[in-house]
Amino acid sequence: MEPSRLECDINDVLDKLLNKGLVLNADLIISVAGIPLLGVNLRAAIAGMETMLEYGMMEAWDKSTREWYTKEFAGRMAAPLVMGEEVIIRTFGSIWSSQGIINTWKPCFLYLTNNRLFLWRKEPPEMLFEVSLDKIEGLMVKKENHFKKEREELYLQFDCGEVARIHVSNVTELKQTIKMIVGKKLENRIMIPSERTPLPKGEEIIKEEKLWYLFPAQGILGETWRPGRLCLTNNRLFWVYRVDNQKMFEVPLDKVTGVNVKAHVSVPGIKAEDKVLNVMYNGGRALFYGKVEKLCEMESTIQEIFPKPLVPSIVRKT
Amino acid sequence: MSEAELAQETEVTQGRYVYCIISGADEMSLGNIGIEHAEVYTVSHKDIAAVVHACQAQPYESRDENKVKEWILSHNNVIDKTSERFGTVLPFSFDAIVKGDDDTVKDRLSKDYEKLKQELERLRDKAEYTVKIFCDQNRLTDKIVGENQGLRELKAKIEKMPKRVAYLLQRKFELQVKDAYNVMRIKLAEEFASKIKEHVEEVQVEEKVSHVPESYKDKKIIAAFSCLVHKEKVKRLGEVLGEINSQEGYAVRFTGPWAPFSFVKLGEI
Repeated sequence: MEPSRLECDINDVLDKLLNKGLVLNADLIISVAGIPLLGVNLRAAIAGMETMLEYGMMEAWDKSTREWYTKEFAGRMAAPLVMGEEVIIRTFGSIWSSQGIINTWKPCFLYLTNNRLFLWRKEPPEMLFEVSLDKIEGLMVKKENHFKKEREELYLQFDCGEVARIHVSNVTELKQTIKMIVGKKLENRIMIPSERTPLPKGEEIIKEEKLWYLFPAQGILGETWRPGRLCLTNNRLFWVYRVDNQKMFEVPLDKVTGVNVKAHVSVPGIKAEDKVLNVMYNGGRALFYGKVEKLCEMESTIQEIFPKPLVPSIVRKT
Repeated sequence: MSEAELAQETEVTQGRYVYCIISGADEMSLGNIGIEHAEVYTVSHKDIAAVVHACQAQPYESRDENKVKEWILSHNNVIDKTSERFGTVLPFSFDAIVKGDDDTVKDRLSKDYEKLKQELERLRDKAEYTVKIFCDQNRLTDKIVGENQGLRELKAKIEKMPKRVAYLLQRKFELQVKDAYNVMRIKLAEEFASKIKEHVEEVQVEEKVSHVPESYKDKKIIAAFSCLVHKEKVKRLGEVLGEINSQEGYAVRFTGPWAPFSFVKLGEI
């Protein structure tokens, strides 16, 4: 067998040149504030903290961090395990919590033991979710949008139809393991309780856009822009406030008298040249704001499906 | 700023990036082969010389990993070129910079002359080779289970059980195999080390192997050695490694020659 020098494998070279070879005496190494800067960043990336510590770099820092950590977390509660309970999976995860106007993912640790599944938050200590394995009725992995990226989430049905929504880094593995331990047949399809109010029969959404709505003055509050969704169905136009999912604006299509996209001078909070979607109806007008393309699309869709001719839209600059 | 101060300032910011120490009395240029195409040249004292380039007295640093890798490859290239030309060199680690000018380097050389000369003599006609031995994981597991009665019994027990009951036991089994694997690994590493030892000057067991090359991804690393080998013994070492390589399930990666990075014993100079 002949020795070779594989040019493509740079890692051998890095290992030798960063961790081995002669080093100069400390007084010759140029250092900043006592830390010798020997390609510190790369050395750290390749050799890891351990080697850095061997070299004596960052020792003080490491020591103080450890001390702080021990002090800070000494009082923390361990996850409450029952006698004889064995942890099978422990992983970082989060659970969807929807209570009133608060809709959020709560980060926590997920524990799967031989008889239950629970999600435990260390600080402040709280049991966020707990279910005995024999109460689990169904599991479903579903792709959901999460901050513009798609990811897999686990829907878990338990206790006669209650549904929890959980995320961990490997959802499929979690599902398989739960299935294996539960050992009975589980539902694969779960009805997700809709967080939105269902539409009446026969009505369907034609177009939906995330748009800001100029909320009318109320009490001591002046007019304010609020985020939400503008929905166009086959017989009405309504807007739902993002925070509490409440309908704040609603008008039947036959009451709409006109719609256009143009700049509005007297609107607070946006620049004078910014265009808004203006919906006129019997007894008033509503203004929506968002990206110009979105506004125009919404406008033309309303124009298209409208039962009677609308007041011609003011010519838009292209 | 007065002229004197300015002169002093320039003096302070001068540095010499050191690649390696070679045997040779001549002072000469080796061309623009250094980091960022810097001109590399030798600074000598008696019959030894330092291979350097002139730079600012501050370390090479970058957040761009590729750039740093390029620097390191350039550094290694200089070491390779000088080794070809001058024989065994004493390689420096990346980013070793002497604050000062050629005279400062000369001072260091004369101060450490005895040590450096001795080390160059010791390493003459020798080079470093890296040996990594891999083994097919499934084979190894089979071997471990086969040799361990407790594990054999546990495995048989698991196979008889219904799947869901077996799950926890399966995990226990895997953990025990892992422990047994570590014991086995140490044993095998010692065996291989003793086989290699007769054909090398020095062998160093690498405890931390951070990186497993792409082509060995499905295998487990058993042992890694850095070996200091005399040039006349390389062929024999290759034969011994070839034997291991041809054993069923084993693979050996044999790289070199390298400058004696793992064997220069001067500590800090």
